[in-house]
Amino acid sequence: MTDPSQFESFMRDYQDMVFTTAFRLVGSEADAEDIAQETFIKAYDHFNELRASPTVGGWLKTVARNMSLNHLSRYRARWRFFSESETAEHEQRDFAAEMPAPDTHQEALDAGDRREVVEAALQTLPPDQRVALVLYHFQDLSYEQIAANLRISIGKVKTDIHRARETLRRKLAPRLAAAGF
Amino acid sequence: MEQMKSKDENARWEAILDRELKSLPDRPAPASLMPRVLAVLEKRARMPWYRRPWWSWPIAARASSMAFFAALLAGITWLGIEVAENGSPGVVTTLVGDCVGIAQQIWVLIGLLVDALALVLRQAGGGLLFGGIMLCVLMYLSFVGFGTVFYRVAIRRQQ
Repeated sequence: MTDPSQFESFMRDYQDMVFTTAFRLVGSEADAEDIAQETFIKAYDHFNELRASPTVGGWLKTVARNMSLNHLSRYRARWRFFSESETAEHEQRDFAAEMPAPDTHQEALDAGDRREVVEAALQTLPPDQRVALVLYHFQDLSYEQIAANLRISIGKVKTDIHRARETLRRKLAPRLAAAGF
Repeated sequence: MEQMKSKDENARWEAILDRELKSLPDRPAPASLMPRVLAVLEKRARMPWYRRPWWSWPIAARASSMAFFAALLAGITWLGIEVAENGSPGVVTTLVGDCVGIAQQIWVLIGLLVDALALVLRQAGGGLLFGGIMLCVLMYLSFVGFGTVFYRVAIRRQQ
């Protein structure tokens, strides 16, 4: 029998990580919250084995990732059909123009601002590119593993990641350079 | 030369980006997440045992269910062997006979409905059939069209 207070403290320790993993993949707070909820319910069923395990963080991350990818593949066809025009708008959005102009009195962005800018730029990427980039950089998956997970070719994975990096370079490089990077 | 320079630049940007992305802190989970999870777990705990996943059933219930399914499997196997060795035994013949009787009645009913429909179409001519198909197509298209518009409006509002 699981002690509820122990599970609450376990959740407090890992909820941000699980929610962030899901959010960066699905790009929606509401969906990420649903996925985080399912992940913790699954964790509750295995809590007796998990609480003593040193790899519990990795287990939660993998479950959240797989659930996010399942969610994306389930809704991909529907999403593509219904949000065609929205994607076009999304791709055309000039993120740099939406950000406030650099302050001449404060040339370098402080770390907090910089992170906010990077996180926001990441969320403006088209979903295909964002997912491939997140799996590569945050989840440390290889091109082959990403291709297998997303059921697409390695060529497409490489193209998506390359395009995502180029988009982020256009949007972020001047700001990071101003901050001394 | 240009190509090498561009390759170096790409590798440098990849390293910078990787460092930047990995240094991003986790986003705080919504305050509603924990109460939601705890509510689901509480609701699940209040469920009667037979509506919970099988592995969380009481041991006695798990043992009885296993015994029941083992007996069922044994029964099916025995019936299979019986049919293979001696032809269809009495019980099976009766059961199959009943099923065939019901299926025959359903088949006759379907035949009657199809005949009636064909008669109506012959009387009304091809125009009615064409009109009906067009109406279905129109309804389908308007369903997809309205669905798309409502979905896009809803998504835009959410953002």
